[in-house]
Amino acid sequence: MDLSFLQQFINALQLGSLYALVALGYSMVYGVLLLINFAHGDIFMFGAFLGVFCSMTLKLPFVPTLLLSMILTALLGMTIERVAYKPLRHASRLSVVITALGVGLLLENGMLALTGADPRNYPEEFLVTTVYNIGGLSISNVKIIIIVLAFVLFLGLYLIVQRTKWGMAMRAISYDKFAVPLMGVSQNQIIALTFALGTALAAAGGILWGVAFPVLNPYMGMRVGWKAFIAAVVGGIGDVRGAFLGGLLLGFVEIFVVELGQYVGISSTWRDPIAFALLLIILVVRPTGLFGVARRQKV
Amino acid sequence: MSKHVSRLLLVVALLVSALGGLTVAAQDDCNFVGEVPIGVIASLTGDRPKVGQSTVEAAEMVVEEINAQCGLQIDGENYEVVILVEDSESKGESAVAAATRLIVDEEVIAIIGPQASVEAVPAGQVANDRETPMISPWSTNPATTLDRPWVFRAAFLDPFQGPVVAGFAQEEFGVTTAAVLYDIASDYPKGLAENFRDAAEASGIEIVAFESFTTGDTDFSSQLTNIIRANPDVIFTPQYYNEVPLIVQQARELGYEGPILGSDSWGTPDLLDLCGDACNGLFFSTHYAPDIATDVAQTFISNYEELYGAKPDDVAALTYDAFQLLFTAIRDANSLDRADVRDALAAIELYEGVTGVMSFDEQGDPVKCAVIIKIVDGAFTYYDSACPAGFPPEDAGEPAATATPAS
Amino acid sequence: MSTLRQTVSRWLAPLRRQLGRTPVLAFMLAFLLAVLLEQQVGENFAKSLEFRKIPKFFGLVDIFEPFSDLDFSGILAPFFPSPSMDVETPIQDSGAAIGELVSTFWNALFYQGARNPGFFSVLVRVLVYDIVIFIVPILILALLLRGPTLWVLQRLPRWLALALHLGALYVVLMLWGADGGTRELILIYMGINIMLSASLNLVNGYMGEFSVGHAGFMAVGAYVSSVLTMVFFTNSSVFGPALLSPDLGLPFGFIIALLAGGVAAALAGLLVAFPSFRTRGDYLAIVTLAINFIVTGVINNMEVVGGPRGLNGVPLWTNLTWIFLFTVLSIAAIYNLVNSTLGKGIIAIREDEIASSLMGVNTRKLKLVAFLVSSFIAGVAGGLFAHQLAYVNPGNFGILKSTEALVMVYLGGMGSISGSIIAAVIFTILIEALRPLAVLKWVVIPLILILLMLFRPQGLFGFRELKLNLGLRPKPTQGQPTETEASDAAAAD
Repeated sequence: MDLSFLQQFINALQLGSLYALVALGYSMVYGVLLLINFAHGDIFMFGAFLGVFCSMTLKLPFVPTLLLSMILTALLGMTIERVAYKPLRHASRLSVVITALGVGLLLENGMLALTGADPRNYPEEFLVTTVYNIGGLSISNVKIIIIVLAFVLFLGLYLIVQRTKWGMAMRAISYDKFAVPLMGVSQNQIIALTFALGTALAAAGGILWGVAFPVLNPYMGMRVGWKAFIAAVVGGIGDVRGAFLGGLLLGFVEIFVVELGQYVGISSTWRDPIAFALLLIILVVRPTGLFGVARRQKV
Repeated sequence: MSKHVSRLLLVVALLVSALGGLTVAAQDDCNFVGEVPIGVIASLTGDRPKVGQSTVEAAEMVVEEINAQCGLQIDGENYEVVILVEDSESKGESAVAAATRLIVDEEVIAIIGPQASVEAVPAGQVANDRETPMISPWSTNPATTLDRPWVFRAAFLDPFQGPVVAGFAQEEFGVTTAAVLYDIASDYPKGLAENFRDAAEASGIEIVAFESFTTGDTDFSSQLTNIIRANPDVIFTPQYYNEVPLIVQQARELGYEGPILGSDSWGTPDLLDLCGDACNGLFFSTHYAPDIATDVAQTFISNYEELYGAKPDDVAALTYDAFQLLFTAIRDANSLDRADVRDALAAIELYEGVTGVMSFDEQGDPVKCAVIIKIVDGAFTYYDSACPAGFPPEDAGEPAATATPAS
Repeated sequence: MSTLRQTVSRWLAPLRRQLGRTPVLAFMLAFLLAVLLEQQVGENFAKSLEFRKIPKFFGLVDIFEPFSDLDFSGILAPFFPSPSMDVETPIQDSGAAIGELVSTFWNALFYQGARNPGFFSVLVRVLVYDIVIFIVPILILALLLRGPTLWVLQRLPRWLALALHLGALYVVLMLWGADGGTRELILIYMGINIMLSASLNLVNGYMGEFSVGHAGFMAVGAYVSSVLTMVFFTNSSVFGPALLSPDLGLPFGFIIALLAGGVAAALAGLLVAFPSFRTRGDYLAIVTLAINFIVTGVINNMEVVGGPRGLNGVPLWTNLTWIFLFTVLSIAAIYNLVNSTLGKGIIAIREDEIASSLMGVNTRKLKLVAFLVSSFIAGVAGGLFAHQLAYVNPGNFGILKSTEALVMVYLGGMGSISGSIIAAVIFTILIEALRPLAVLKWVVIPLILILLMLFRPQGLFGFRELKLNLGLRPKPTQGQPTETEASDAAAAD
């Protein structure tokens, strides 16, 4: 194995971290509400576009843009939950899922209708790319920032979920959503908090994505969303560690199918079918994902 | 109370507007005796909204121009050109529905569009079956016009462009190895990538990497790492303006310093804005050079910029040409009969448009020259041109090739 | 306001009661006569209303045309500038865009030129046309025909009466719809959508799984049937001359190819059915999603069928008759399945898989049946779709197509065949009617979907069927009265 193998490892780490950030939000919402929030990918897009607003119109630098966009997106996430999902809390689960699908379509097409079809990017001075060449290995500061930030955000979230009272309440609700309100915990507040955290992470993912791949359009969230959803499920949806790991795994699978494919004579044209087939196999072997716990059904 | 008033107002409004529909519009000085309805199919939503937007902008501009000249003259009478735009949603079935609706319900004389082959191939079937002339400005799939006498196009085909780029790479850089990165799931890049590969191999260039990705991907690092390991002299990537900046930036980040070549899909000014400095010094082949001083092209570009505040892309230029070809055919035919217009279209010889001089071959595909553009200081600049053998004929005068760059 | 409504409904009450007792067949016959009326006087009447032609599809396709120039993109674009934009004063630019939009909208409502009448003008004229040509004649004729049709229906055996309905429906569709233009196209897409939504409803609604990759099965059916018809029955540029005679293509070749496409899609359905033994719910959703991705990915890599270029030269064989035939057969198959013992088992799986398996339901077998039938029908629909477009491309069968199928199922309501049918009809018309709105169309449709879900989470007909007054003789085993109060109006509440 030569150096380019290591290079691919870094490539995979970058892509995987981005998927992981989006997958985290999917997983948290699912854990608390058992809702596949299909609008999540489009919230990710919205976060990236808010980054354009902050950096181009408000002329903010990188860190304030990231924070402001995360806050605004969190507000959007809570609004969506309040307006579109909350009234359906006692309806059939699938009506909520379809509503989420509708909210996603509305966000992406509304964005297209209101802002036009031109692709966007961030100003050049936003995050100046520097490439470090370490013994034939090319690493840019952007890659490092993305990977580090993703891990920091994940650890922060993990600590919130594991160590704080709010986090405990979240886990409790996902464990038993009928008993917890009886203990004096406000279900609405916890759900709102979950949405705020999940969507803020999606916004962070969106801005980092926009930095790494600076061509933004209103449909950018669709594919990322579907893929992150798959990552979250493979990791075991409902578990933050699983989601993060699933995201990283998806990144590695996508990159290494191309890398290893050339040794066995498979062209990179087969990347998508093979990547998805691999994930399918994981699901068949472990039907509830890597970290998922099979919910015992009471009979 | 207010409710009643508003309801009353609504009723009045309804009546007024119903009457309004019956009144006759004010006539212009031109004394139009009739209309020439032309259908436009554009992908305003879906994967390619920008392409649809350029199409409609160019169409509205060209129609405004022709109507300012009192439209089309047939038998000495003025006919107003009217366009009817339908959205194809970047989907084949919607393009079919749009074409059917335009032909059957709106009774258009001809259709301009759709642009992408995914839409143009099935829509061309409808136009051909229903004997309505159709010009797809941008589609490069041979199937769009193949064995369809009623369907034409304004862009040159992959089998022409592939060798042009391969030949340029060999002459300009003397390359012996090349790599290709293309979108497997999109038919234009795939066709061009394969044509480039075949042409390159035929002329002795070794293809050391032939890597692909899927539409919508934004991370090309694994493919580019593979390509860089193979150490090619040049990378060819026939991708769209929204993917090229990503590919170029990622290639540079991963340490590739050689030249990157592209095709006519690069020719959107958005590419320059999105790419920044990274794209300077790169080359691509396309239909026309914005800085070339042919009068037609200059007028088109300055008018377009004045109207829309942005430089036209190649979709707009080709759409404009498609309209002008159609207008020429209608004038030549001196008739609004679809069959006459088709015959006149097929007979067009050496038409000089924005994108150069062209004639139609027997399949309805244009025979025209390609130009090589170099990106210099964030602008498309003319570099070279390549023409099909024996085109244009000597006596017709050289087109773009001999013109002097304006800048 | 409320008093007005009460007055109107009091006036209309006798009419509603009368119409409620009128069997569907009478309406069909009345519609048939109205179509004949339209063919006689429609053209002239439309011209006198300043239409250039007879309004298509009751004018539904025309009424949103005035809004085609609305452009909202200036409102937010200044705040989210693209690199090519020079924005100095975003708020003013946005304000100017809004001002322009308002004036465009105002013109769209009222008047915008001789060729482009305003919305209200179109609406009024469409309403006049529909009332004069369709609504009034149909109401009168249906009431007149009520007696005779009931008399006939009561004397016919049930199967013959049902066949009579289907025959009448077919004649109506052919007479009114087979214009070779927009109407026929819309009806064909409608049929395909009905097959898709009904078949997906079998899995998602009746069995309670969440399949999100229905377009994948459609793709398999489309490709297999296209390849078969092209190889055997057409002289194509892709596969060379026909292996069998092109004369055999219709009808036998087409039927065989469509069924083969269905079988191939059903085999692909096995890929979902087997994992479904162990995996359930959202995990199975992923399996279906991944299979959709894999199918299109594999087709992209198959040079034989053109890869991403698609397969061109598929014979243009699908027409209204074929669509009618296969839609009716599919609906009948699904209806019979869900009302059979097998169907009760499938519903039991939805309610409680473990309990049903304890009660002796062979859940594996039933899951197999449901997935096979569902993907088979999707495959046939794909084949019909391919032979309508005369061109297939893997891009046609992406997640978006699957999403459309999902939307139709939940719009109509889970576990309701009539819901699926009506949702597919509404959805297809909506797609065509809103086409002039371009980008806004995909803002309006999700909004409708969200509002519907908020105010009617079970969909239009969740777990219920629309009851039509068919005026049939009672079933010999069950002594139900024929004069059910339920009618179109009542059941649609």
